[in-house]
Amino acid sequence: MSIIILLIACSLVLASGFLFAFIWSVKSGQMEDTSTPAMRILNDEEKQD
Amino acid sequence: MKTSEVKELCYHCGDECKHEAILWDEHVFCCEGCKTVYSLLKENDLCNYYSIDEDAARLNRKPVASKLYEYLDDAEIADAFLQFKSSEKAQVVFFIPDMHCSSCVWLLEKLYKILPGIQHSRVNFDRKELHVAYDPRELSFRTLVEKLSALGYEPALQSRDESKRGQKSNKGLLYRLGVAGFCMGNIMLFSFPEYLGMDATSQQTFARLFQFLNLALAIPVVSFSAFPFLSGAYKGLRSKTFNIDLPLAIGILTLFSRSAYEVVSQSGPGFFDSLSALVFFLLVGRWMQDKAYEALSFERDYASYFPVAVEVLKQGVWRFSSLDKLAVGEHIRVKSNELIPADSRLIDGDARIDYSFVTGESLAEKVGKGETVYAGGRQTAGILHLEVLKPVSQSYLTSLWNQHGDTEKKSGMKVFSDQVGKWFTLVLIALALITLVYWLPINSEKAFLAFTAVLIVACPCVLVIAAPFAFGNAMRWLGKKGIYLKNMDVVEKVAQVDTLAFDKTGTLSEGSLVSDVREFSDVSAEQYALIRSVVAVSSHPLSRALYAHLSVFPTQNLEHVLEVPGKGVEAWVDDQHIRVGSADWLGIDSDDKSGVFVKCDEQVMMQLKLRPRYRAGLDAVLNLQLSDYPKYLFSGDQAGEVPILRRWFREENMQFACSPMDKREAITTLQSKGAHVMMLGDGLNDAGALQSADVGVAITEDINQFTPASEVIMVGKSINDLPKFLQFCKNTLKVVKGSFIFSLVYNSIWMYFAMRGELQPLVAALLMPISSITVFTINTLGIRYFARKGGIQ
Repeated sequence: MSIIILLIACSLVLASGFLFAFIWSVKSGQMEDTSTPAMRILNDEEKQD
Repeated sequence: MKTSEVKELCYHCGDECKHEAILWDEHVFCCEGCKTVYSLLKENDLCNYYSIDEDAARLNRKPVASKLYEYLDDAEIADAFLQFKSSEKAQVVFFIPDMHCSSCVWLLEKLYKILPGIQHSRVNFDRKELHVAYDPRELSFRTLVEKLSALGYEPALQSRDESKRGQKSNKGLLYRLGVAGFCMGNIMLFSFPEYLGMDATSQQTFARLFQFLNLALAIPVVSFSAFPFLSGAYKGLRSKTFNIDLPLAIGILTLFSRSAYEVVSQSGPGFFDSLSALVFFLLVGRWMQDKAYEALSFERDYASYFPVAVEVLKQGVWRFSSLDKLAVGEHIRVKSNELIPADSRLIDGDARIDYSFVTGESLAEKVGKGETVYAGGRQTAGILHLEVLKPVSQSYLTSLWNQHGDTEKKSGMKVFSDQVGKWFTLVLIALALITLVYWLPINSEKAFLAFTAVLIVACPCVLVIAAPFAFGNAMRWLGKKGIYLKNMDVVEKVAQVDTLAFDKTGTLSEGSLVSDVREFSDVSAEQYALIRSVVAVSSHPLSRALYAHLSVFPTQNLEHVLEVPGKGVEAWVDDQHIRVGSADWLGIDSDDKSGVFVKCDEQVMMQLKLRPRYRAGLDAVLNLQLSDYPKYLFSGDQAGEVPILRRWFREENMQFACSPMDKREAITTLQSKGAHVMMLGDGLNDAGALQSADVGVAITEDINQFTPASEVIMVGKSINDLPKFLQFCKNTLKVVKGSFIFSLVYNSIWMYFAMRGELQPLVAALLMPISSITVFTINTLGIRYFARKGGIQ
């Protein structure tokens, strides 16, 4: 049963990873504007000649 | 859905081509401006613009070419707009109201292709902002602004401080929300064994481990995520007021300390799951509150209306200077169609001032030399030379805003939840103390447990969660209908409104309509067509009305047309001199000089009178659906429209020729009789009344245009939804009150057990999330139900 302790440690590390990913995304301004990127992605880059 | 009639639509702006269309590069354009934008895009290989969003063409604004941005050459003025400037890089944020679709985003982010010197440009569509970084050595600020205007994206220039004010960041809240969510998820996970009845004796190690992990995870929730509530309560206490944060802070701290005590003393698992869920939901509520309508500004002051710079005479030379530096006694120059920035004395020039902005009266007023012209008036004739009499901040217009600077004036209407919150806190603390005092002599441990149980069970999360969720949802529904509320408290205020006051022009009416035509001689169809072609050039409201009136006649492109601002339009066609304009200008001596006259050479042909065109559907709205409300009309115009208005308003409830002050006083008089007044108006002349009223509703045709400061911004056509709006707000308040009653009953039952010291810890831990979720569901579904039922969809 002591394997559970290891599993818990793993899950906490994994979850903290997600938390830090979220904090990073807020810090880098990704949450400032949630609708423009959705429009930007539709714009094709014109072909390079 | 296509009609058989084929209209030529402009390839760029989607307008019907009224004059002779311009055929260029296989596309049709309605004017030179649109053609220019197209050719600019074409030249730079940016024609994708027209294919990205099909609506691009339909919604495009006509490019503005004639705007003067000369003053931006002054480095001091231009620098006030920049966020950052060094010798090789400058950054600026523009607010661009005309941005409307994904094509705009695409084009604005490709600006570097059109303008050399642009390093990069980035759009925030929700806020309608354009962030530009450019090289000031290659590109001047003025050219940048002019190019944007020429493309049809005229920026609303705001000074740096002004644009920063709008950018309040909610990053801090997002961090707190993220941490609370993370901790809540994990705490829930570690609490599951407890819910499922894990055998604590055989699994001692795990039980202890989970409890300590929960304790560790709860520490950031309380110290970081719940910080705004704790500090809010502390601030409230220091200023000796009970705010809604206080009972919350008590609840949070009690939950945490009791849970920590249970874990450390090994007497139970604690309530960490309830604690983290509570904080998480509270933060979600606060986030929803912040998120709503971040792009719309309701706090516009006079500065938004005024020009940024003005031409000042300095050492014999006219130079642009920023408006804040304008001093009394300086000489300024105001051109046609410019606003007068400060109360001044006329020194020279033909002053015909249109005060419609301030008083609502649309006829231009003639001012003689030496007389005073007031700030906010718009010069309609030639160049004026003025001497400043009063500083900008003390002029007549500004005083309209400032004289009733008592922002707390709305205290007569008590905000529902704050009041209940205060009362609630007092009762709660009293009950908890009674429990403590009762149990203390009997059993000190039980006394502590019962005391904390009372505080936990009674935690007024409903008070805090119910209103944001209900009002936030209500605001969202109303937003879809073109009705935008400043904040959530407005829903409560609207629900209490019992009297309605209206402005006339721009609120009940939209534009003008030709009402009466007097022909002095026979006018042929060709002549009518000619007249229509002449007025087509002018954008004056009277010309527009005339143009629409003669819509059956075709127009032609005239070569020699001249618009004389404030007077009329004239044209020379085949040796004929056609003039359309005011009686004075045409030298007509008649008893009745009102309206517009048409003169061909020396012969007066016709006189056209105009009346306001009332919005459709007012009969049903004002007379049937709103028949229970007393309705008042305060108009800045003369009383000429009484016969029409009598249909909607009682004779004694109509006031005409009101100055802005009169309107405001009329509102305060109604309020002193105990009425809760909603004022609907559009112009600056209503600004005072809108602020004094319990609820001020600014009517506008375009929500991104500047409107007077108000509680609600409403799109003009939504005025027909006014009855639904009022009813919906009332229903929303009912839902909130309903959920209060529900939680009061629910909490009272458990309070009974808590006070008797009989509440099982596990039961208490489950009760709170259930209560929160129930309240959340009641509010969301209730509002949705009323929105559907009330036709707000």
